[in-house]
Amino acid sequence: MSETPADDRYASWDEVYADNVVRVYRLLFSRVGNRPDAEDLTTDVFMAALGPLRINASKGEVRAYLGATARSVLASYWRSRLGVEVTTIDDDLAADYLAAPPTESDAPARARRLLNRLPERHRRILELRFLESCSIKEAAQAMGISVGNAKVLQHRALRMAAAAQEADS
Amino acid sequence: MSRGPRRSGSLVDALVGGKPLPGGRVPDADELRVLRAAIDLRAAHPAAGLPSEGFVARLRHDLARELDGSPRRTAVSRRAVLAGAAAAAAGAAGVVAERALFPGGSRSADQVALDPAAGQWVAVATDADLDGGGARRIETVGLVGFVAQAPGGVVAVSGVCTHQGCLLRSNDESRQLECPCHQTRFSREGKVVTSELHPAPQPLPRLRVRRRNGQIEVLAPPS
Repeated sequence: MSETPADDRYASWDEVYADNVVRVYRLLFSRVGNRPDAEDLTTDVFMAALGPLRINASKGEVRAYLGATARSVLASYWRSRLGVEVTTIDDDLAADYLAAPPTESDAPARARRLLNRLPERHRRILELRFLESCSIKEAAQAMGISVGNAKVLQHRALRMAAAAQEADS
Repeated sequence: MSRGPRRSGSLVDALVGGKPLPGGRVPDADELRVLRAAIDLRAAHPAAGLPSEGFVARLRHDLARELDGSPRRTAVSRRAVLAGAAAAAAGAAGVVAERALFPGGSRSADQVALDPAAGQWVAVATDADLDGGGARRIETVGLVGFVAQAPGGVVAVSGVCTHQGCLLRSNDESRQLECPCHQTRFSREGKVVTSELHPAPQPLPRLRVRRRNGQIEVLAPPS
Protein backbone atom coordinates (compact mmCIF):
# COMPACT_ATOMS: atom_id res chain seq x y z
CA MET A 1 0.00 0.00 0.00
CA SER A 2 1.54 3.33 -1.00
CA GLU A 3 1.83 6.06 1.59
CA THR A 4 1.31 9.73 0.98
CA PRO A 5 4.61 11.48 1.72
CA ALA A 6 4.34 13.87 4.65
CA ASP A 7 5.02 16.99 2.63
CA ASP A 8 2.14 16.15 0.31
CA ARG A 9 -0.35 16.27 3.17
CA TYR A 10 -1.87 19.00 5.29
CA ALA A 11 -1.15 18.71 9.01
CA SER A 12 -4.45 20.21 10.18
CA TRP A 13 -7.70 21.78 8.98
CA ASP A 14 -6.06 25.10 9.77
CA GLU A 15 -3.49 24.49 7.05
CA VAL A 16 -6.17 23.33 4.62
CA TYR A 17 -7.99 26.56 5.27
CA ALA A 18 -4.97 28.89 5.11
CA ASP A 19 -3.76 27.34 1.88
CA ASN A 20 -7.10 27.32 0.09
CA VAL A 21 -9.46 30.01 1.38
CA VAL A 22 -8.40 32.74 -1.06
CA ARG A 23 -8.24 30.29 -3.97
CA VAL A 24 -11.76 29.10 -3.28
CA TYR A 25 -12.92 32.72 -2.95
CA ARG A 26 -11.39 33.62 -6.33
CA LEU A 27 -12.93 30.59 -7.97
CA LEU A 28 -16.37 31.51 -6.65
CA PHE A 29 -16.00 35.21 -7.50
CA SER A 30 -15.27 34.25 -11.08
CA ARG A 31 -18.64 32.45 -11.11
CA VAL A 32 -20.87 34.98 -9.34
CA GLY A 33 -19.21 38.32 -10.06
CA ASN A 34 -19.76 39.94 -6.67
CA ARG A 35 -17.97 39.85 -3.35
CA PRO A 36 -20.80 39.33 -0.84
CA ASP A 37 -22.07 36.20 -2.59
CA ALA A 38 -18.52 34.95 -3.21
CA GLU A 39 -17.79 35.30 0.51
CA ASP A 40 -21.04 33.58 1.54
CA LEU A 41 -20.34 30.70 -0.81
CA THR A 42 -16.74 30.43 0.37
CA THR A 43 -18.11 30.13 3.90
CA ASP A 44 -20.51 27.40 2.76
CA VAL A 45 -17.71 25.44 1.10
CA PHE A 46 -15.50 25.34 4.17
CA MET A 47 -18.36 24.75 6.60
CA ALA A 48 -19.47 21.79 4.53
CA ALA A 49 -16.10 20.35 3.60
CA LEU A 50 -13.85 20.65 6.62
CA GLY A 51 -15.86 18.41 8.92
CA PRO A 52 -15.94 15.32 6.67
CA LEU A 53 -12.49 15.96 5.20
CA ARG A 54 -9.82 13.25 5.59
CA ILE A 55 -6.85 15.28 6.79
CA ASN A 56 -4.36 12.59 5.79
CA ALA A 57 -5.48 12.59 2.16
CA SER A 58 -3.02 14.06 -0.32
CA LYS A 59 -3.20 17.78 -1.02
CA GLY A 60 -4.44 17.01 -4.53
CA GLU A 61 -7.30 14.96 -3.11
CA VAL A 62 -8.16 17.65 -0.60
CA ARG A 63 -8.27 20.30 -3.33
CA ALA A 64 -10.36 18.06 -5.55
CA TYR A 65 -12.79 17.63 -2.67
CA LEU A 66 -12.97 21.39 -2.12
CA GLY A 67 -13.57 21.87 -5.85
CA ALA A 68 -16.41 19.34 -5.84
CA THR A 69 -17.94 21.01 -2.80
CA ALA A 70 -17.69 24.40 -4.50
CA ARG A 71 -19.43 22.97 -7.57
CA SER A 72 -22.42 21.82 -5.57
CA VAL A 73 -22.53 24.94 -3.37
CA LEU A 74 -22.63 27.06 -6.51
CA ALA A 75 -25.40 24.94 -8.06
CA SER A 76 -27.48 25.28 -4.90
CA TYR A 77 -26.97 29.03 -4.91
CA TRP A 78 -28.20 29.43 -8.49
CA ARG A 79 -31.18 27.19 -7.86
CA SER A 80 -32.36 29.18 -4.88
CA ARG A 81 -31.38 32.65 -6.14
CA LEU A 82 -32.51 32.64 -9.78
CA GLY A 83 -33.88 29.17 -10.42
CA VAL A 84 -31.45 28.51 -13.25
CA GLU A 85 -27.78 27.55 -13.42
CA VAL A 86 -26.05 30.67 -14.74
CA THR A 87 -22.46 29.50 -14.32
CA THR A 88 -20.86 26.20 -13.37
CA ILE A 89 -17.54 24.85 -12.17
CA ASP A 90 -16.02 22.12 -14.29
CA ASP A 91 -12.98 20.07 -13.31
CA ASP A 92 -10.58 22.15 -15.39
CA LEU A 93 -11.74 25.41 -13.90
CA ALA A 94 -11.52 24.06 -10.35
CA ALA A 95 -8.03 22.75 -11.06
CA ASP A 96 -6.91 26.12 -12.48
CA TYR A 97 -7.96 28.01 -9.40
CA LEU A 98 -6.93 25.46 -6.81
CA ALA A 99 -3.65 24.33 -8.35
CA ALA A 100 -0.35 24.57 -6.57
CA PRO A 101 1.57 26.66 -7.04
CA PRO A 102 -1.29 29.17 -7.54
CA THR A 103 -1.48 30.29 -11.13
CA GLU A 104 -1.94 33.98 -11.81
CA SER A 105 -5.49 34.21 -13.06
CA ASP A 106 -5.77 35.40 -16.63
CA ALA A 107 -9.44 36.23 -16.17
CA PRO A 108 -8.74 39.98 -15.85
CA ALA A 109 -6.67 39.93 -19.06
CA ARG A 110 -9.39 38.01 -20.87
CA ALA A 111 -12.00 40.51 -19.70
CA ARG A 112 -9.78 43.31 -21.05
CA ARG A 113 -9.34 41.57 -24.39
CA LEU A 114 -13.07 41.10 -24.65
CA LEU A 115 -13.65 44.79 -24.05
CA ASN A 116 -11.07 45.75 -26.64
CA ARG A 117 -13.07 43.99 -29.32
CA LEU A 118 -16.02 46.31 -28.88
CA PRO A 119 -16.62 49.59 -30.68
CA GLU A 120 -15.34 52.66 -28.82
CA ARG A 121 -18.53 53.83 -27.10
CA HIS A 122 -19.66 50.34 -26.17
CA ARG A 123 -16.26 49.59 -24.68
CA ARG A 124 -16.25 52.88 -22.80
CA ILE A 125 -19.59 52.40 -21.06
CA LEU A 126 -18.55 48.95 -19.88
CA GLU A 127 -15.18 50.18 -18.66
CA LEU A 128 -16.85 52.94 -16.70
CA ARG A 129 -19.40 50.57 -15.19
CA PHE A 130 -17.35 47.44 -14.60
CA LEU A 131 -13.79 48.54 -14.11
CA GLU A 132 -14.39 51.93 -12.56
CA SER A 133 -17.64 51.05 -10.74
CA CYS A 134 -19.40 54.20 -11.89
CA SER A 135 -23.11 54.57 -11.33
CA ILE A 136 -25.24 54.85 -14.47
CA LYS A 137 -25.59 58.56 -13.80
CA GLU A 138 -21.81 59.05 -13.47
CA ALA A 139 -21.16 57.03 -16.59
CA ALA A 140 -23.76 59.00 -18.54
CA GLN A 141 -22.18 62.27 -17.41
CA ALA A 142 -18.68 61.08 -18.30
CA MET A 143 -19.86 60.23 -21.79
CA GLY A 144 -22.05 63.28 -22.23
CA ILE A 145 -25.25 61.29 -22.82
CA SER A 146 -28.55 60.93 -21.00
CA VAL A 147 -29.10 58.27 -18.35
CA GLY A 148 -31.67 56.58 -20.57
CA ASN A 149 -29.19 56.40 -23.45
CA ALA A 150 -26.51 55.09 -21.13
CA LYS A 151 -28.78 52.24 -20.02
CA VAL A 152 -29.57 51.24 -23.58
CA LEU A 153 -25.91 51.55 -24.60
CA GLN A 154 -24.83 49.39 -21.67
CA HIS A 155 -27.37 46.73 -22.49
CA ARG A 156 -26.31 46.62 -26.14
CA ALA A 157 -22.65 46.56 -25.17
CA LEU A 158 -23.21 43.59 -22.87
CA ARG A 159 -25.06 41.72 -25.57
CA MET A 160 -22.19 42.41 -27.96
CA ALA A 161 -19.70 41.19 -25.37
CA ALA A 162 -21.80 38.06 -24.85
CA ALA A 163 -21.94 37.42 -28.59
CA ALA A 164 -18.18 37.90 -28.91
CA GLN A 165 -17.59 35.37 -26.14
CA GLU A 166 -19.93 32.82 -27.64
CA ALA A 167 -18.24 33.21 -31.03
CA ASP A 168 -14.96 32.32 -29.34
CA SER A 169 -16.06 29.16 -27.56
CA MET B 1 -37.87 40.22 -28.82
CA SER B 2 -35.85 40.73 -25.67
CA ARG B 3 -37.22 42.79 -22.81
CA GLY B 4 -34.44 45.33 -23.20
CA PRO B 5 -32.48 46.76 -20.32
CA ARG B 6 -35.12 46.83 -17.62
CA ARG B 7 -34.94 43.40 -16.02
CA SER B 8 -31.35 42.37 -16.60
CA GLY B 9 -30.52 45.93 -15.58
CA SER B 10 -31.29 45.14 -11.96
CA LEU B 11 -29.01 42.11 -12.01
CA VAL B 12 -26.20 44.04 -13.72
CA ASP B 13 -26.71 47.01 -11.40
CA ALA B 14 -26.26 44.72 -8.41
CA LEU B 15 -23.02 43.34 -9.84
CA VAL B 16 -21.60 46.72 -10.70
CA GLY B 17 -22.56 48.01 -7.28
CA GLY B 18 -20.74 45.10 -5.66
CA LYS B 19 -24.01 43.85 -4.17
CA PRO B 20 -25.32 40.30 -3.95
CA LEU B 21 -27.49 39.22 -6.86
CA PRO B 22 -31.18 39.75 -6.12
CA GLY B 23 -33.43 36.72 -6.38
CA GLY B 24 -36.67 36.67 -8.27
CA ARG B 25 -38.09 35.66 -11.59
CA VAL B 26 -36.14 33.19 -13.69
CA PRO B 27 -34.14 35.16 -16.29
CA ASP B 28 -34.83 34.40 -19.94
CA ALA B 29 -32.15 33.36 -22.42
CA ASP B 30 -31.24 36.92 -23.37
CA GLU B 31 -31.01 38.06 -19.76
CA LEU B 32 -28.82 35.03 -19.03
CA ARG B 33 -26.33 35.89 -21.76
CA VAL B 34 -26.11 39.46 -20.54
CA LEU B 35 -25.65 38.28 -16.96
CA ARG B 36 -22.87 35.86 -17.91
CA ALA B 37 -21.05 38.57 -19.87
CA ALA B 38 -21.37 40.91 -16.90
CA ILE B 39 -19.99 38.27 -14.51
CA ASP B 40 -17.01 37.70 -16.80
CA LEU B 41 -16.29 41.40 -17.05
CA ARG B 42 -16.33 41.65 -13.28
CA ALA B 43 -13.30 39.37 -13.27
CA ALA B 44 -11.25 42.46 -14.09
CA HIS B 45 -12.43 44.21 -10.93
CA PRO B 46 -10.04 44.35 -7.93
CA ALA B 47 -12.59 42.64 -5.67
CA ALA B 48 -12.15 39.52 -7.78
CA GLY B 49 -8.77 38.88 -6.23
CA LEU B 50 -9.36 39.17 -2.50
CA PRO B 51 -12.24 38.99 -0.05
CA SER B 52 -13.07 41.96 2.18
CA GLU B 53 -10.85 42.86 5.08
CA GLY B 54 -11.32 40.61 8.06
CA PHE B 55 -13.27 37.97 6.14
CA VAL B 56 -10.52 35.37 6.26
CA ALA B 57 -9.98 35.81 10.01
CA ARG B 58 -13.70 35.85 10.82
CA LEU B 59 -14.41 32.70 8.87
CA ARG B 60 -11.48 30.96 10.47
CA HIS B 61 -12.86 31.90 13.87
CA ASP B 62 -16.34 30.61 13.00
CA LEU B 63 -14.90 27.38 11.62
CA ALA B 64 -12.89 26.85 14.78
CA ARG B 65 -16.06 27.12 16.83
CA GLU B 66 -17.83 24.68 14.53
CA LEU B 67 -15.06 22.12 14.34
CA ASP B 68 -13.46 22.26 17.76
CA GLY B 69 -16.80 22.52 19.54
CA SER B 70 -18.18 19.33 18.05
CA PRO B 71 -19.51 16.99 20.74
CA ARG B 72 -17.45 13.99 19.68
CA ARG B 73 -14.16 15.86 19.93
CA THR B 74 -15.09 17.66 23.14
CA ALA B 75 -16.00 14.34 24.73
CA VAL B 76 -12.62 12.91 23.88
CA SER B 77 -10.77 15.83 25.39
CA ARG B 78 -12.94 15.75 28.53
CA ARG B 79 -12.10 12.12 29.04
CA ALA B 80 -8.46 12.93 28.59
CA VAL B 81 -8.74 15.62 31.26
CA LEU B 82 -10.48 13.33 33.73
CA ALA B 83 -7.66 10.83 33.25
CA GLY B 84 -7.87 7.85 35.54
CA ALA B 85 -8.41 4.28 34.43
CA ALA B 86 -12.17 4.36 35.07
CA ALA B 87 -12.84 7.28 32.76
CA ALA B 88 -10.56 6.02 30.03
CA ALA B 89 -11.69 2.41 30.22
CA ALA B 90 -15.10 2.59 28.60
CA GLY B 91 -17.55 5.18 27.34
CA ALA B 92 -20.33 4.20 29.75
CA ALA B 93 -18.06 4.31 32.78
CA GLY B 94 -16.77 7.72 31.74
CA VAL B 95 -20.24 9.16 31.42
CA VAL B 96 -21.38 7.86 34.78
CA ALA B 97 -18.24 9.18 36.45
CA GLU B 98 -18.80 12.65 34.98
CA ARG B 99 -22.34 12.87 36.29
CA ALA B 100 -21.36 11.73 39.78
CA LEU B 101 -18.72 14.45 39.93
CA PHE B 102 -21.07 17.22 38.80
CA PRO B 103 -24.55 16.48 40.14
CA GLY B 104 -25.79 20.04 39.82
CA GLY B 105 -24.88 20.58 36.20
CA SER B 106 -24.06 18.75 33.03
CA ARG B 107 -20.80 18.81 31.11
CA SER B 108 -20.60 20.40 27.68
CA ALA B 109 -19.38 16.98 26.54
CA ASP B 110 -23.03 15.98 26.40
CA GLN B 111 -24.19 18.89 24.29
CA VAL B 112 -25.19 17.93 20.76
CA ALA B 113 -25.83 19.94 17.62
CA LEU B 114 -29.22 19.55 16.00
CA ASP B 115 -28.10 18.26 12.62
CA PRO B 116 -30.92 17.09 10.32
CA ALA B 117 -29.77 14.81 7.52
CA ALA B 118 -31.41 16.88 4.78
CA GLY B 119 -31.78 20.15 6.63
CA GLN B 120 -32.73 23.44 5.08
CA TRP B 121 -31.54 26.88 6.08
CA VAL B 122 -34.50 29.00 7.15
CA ALA B 123 -34.44 32.73 7.95
CA VAL B 124 -35.82 33.25 11.46
CA ALA B 125 -34.77 36.77 12.45
CA THR B 126 -32.90 39.83 11.27
CA ASP B 127 -29.70 41.30 12.69
CA ALA B 128 -31.81 44.16 14.02
CA ASP B 129 -33.99 41.77 16.00
CA LEU B 130 -31.03 40.82 18.16
CA ASP B 131 -29.78 44.33 18.78
CA GLY B 132 -31.56 44.81 22.09
CA GLY B 133 -29.55 42.06 23.73
CA GLY B 134 -32.53 39.81 24.30
CA ALA B 135 -32.98 36.21 23.23
CA ARG B 136 -35.48 35.88 20.44
CA ARG B 137 -37.83 32.97 20.39
CA ILE B 138 -38.03 31.35 16.98
CA GLU B 139 -40.41 28.80 15.62
CA THR B 140 -40.02 27.28 12.22
CA VAL B 141 -40.35 24.04 10.30
CA GLY B 142 -39.95 21.25 12.82
CA LEU B 143 -38.37 23.20 15.65
CA VAL B 144 -38.66 25.89 18.31
CA GLY B 145 -35.70 27.62 19.84
CA PHE B 146 -33.95 30.81 20.89
CA VAL B 147 -31.47 32.97 19.01
CA ALA B 148 -29.26 35.53 20.74
CA GLN B 149 -26.15 37.61 20.30
CA ALA B 150 -23.13 36.08 22.08
CA PRO B 151 -19.53 37.33 22.33
CA GLY B 152 -18.35 34.93 19.65
CA GLY B 153 -21.23 35.56 17.28
CA VAL B 154 -24.82 34.44 17.02
CA VAL B 155 -25.90 31.47 19.10
CA ALA B 156 -29.04 29.37 18.73
CA VAL B 157 -30.39 26.53 20.83
CA SER B 158 -33.43 24.31 20.95
CA GLY B 159 -36.24 25.72 23.08
CA VAL B 160 -37.44 22.36 24.39
CA CYS B 161 -36.36 21.36 27.89
CA THR B 162 -34.25 18.23 27.71
CA HIS B 163 -35.88 16.85 30.85
CA GLN B 164 -39.50 16.19 29.89
CA GLY B 165 -40.13 18.33 26.82
CA CYS B 166 -41.70 21.49 28.25
CA LEU B 167 -41.17 24.62 26.20
CA LEU B 168 -38.69 27.06 27.68
CA ARG B 169 -39.20 30.74 28.28
CA SER B 170 -36.61 33.48 27.94
CA ASN B 171 -35.75 35.62 30.94
CA ASP B 172 -34.06 38.64 29.42
CA GLU B 173 -33.07 40.06 32.80
CA SER B 174 -31.11 37.03 33.90
CA ARG B 175 -30.17 36.25 30.27
CA GLN B 176 -31.29 32.68 30.79
CA LEU B 177 -33.85 30.26 29.42
CA GLU B 178 -36.18 28.84 32.06
CA CYS B 179 -38.31 25.76 32.21
CA PRO B 180 -41.72 26.36 33.82
CA CYS B 181 -42.11 22.69 34.78
CA HIS B 182 -39.23 22.17 37.21
CA GLN B 183 -37.42 25.53 37.13
CA THR B 184 -34.30 24.30 35.41
CA ARG B 185 -32.38 27.22 33.97
CA PHE B 186 -30.19 27.09 30.89
CA SER B 187 -27.73 29.63 29.52
CA ARG B 188 -28.36 30.95 26.03
CA GLU B 189 -25.61 28.62 24.88
CA GLY B 190 -27.68 25.74 26.23
CA LYS B 191 -25.63 24.81 29.30
CA VAL B 192 -27.50 23.94 32.50
CA VAL B 193 -27.03 26.78 34.98
CA THR B 194 -29.20 25.56 37.85
CA SER B 195 -31.45 22.56 38.28
CA GLU B 196 -33.28 20.92 41.16
CA LEU B 197 -33.25 17.65 39.29
CA HIS B 198 -30.81 14.80 39.91
CA PRO B 199 -29.19 14.02 37.65
CA ALA B 200 -29.40 17.39 35.95
CA PRO B 201 -30.90 17.42 32.45
CA GLN B 202 -28.74 17.34 29.34
CA PRO B 203 -27.68 20.65 27.86
CA LEU B 204 -29.91 22.00 25.10
CA PRO B 205 -29.06 20.93 21.57
CA ARG B 206 -27.36 23.75 19.67
CA LEU B 207 -28.90 24.76 16.39
CA ARG B 208 -26.64 25.42 13.45
CA VAL B 209 -26.95 29.11 12.76
CA ARG B 210 -25.50 31.56 10.27
CA ARG B 211 -25.90 35.09 8.98
CA ARG B 212 -26.97 35.79 5.40
CA ASN B 213 -27.75 39.19 3.91
CA GLY B 214 -28.61 40.69 7.28
CA GLN B 215 -30.78 37.72 8.19
CA ILE B 216 -30.20 35.08 10.82
CA GLU B 217 -30.80 31.55 9.50
CA VAL B 218 -30.98 28.23 11.31
CA LEU B 219 -30.64 24.75 9.88
CA ALA B 220 -34.12 23.28 10.21
CA PRO B 221 -35.56 19.85 9.42
CA PRO B 222 -36.85 19.36 5.86
CA SER B 223 -40.44 20.44 5.40
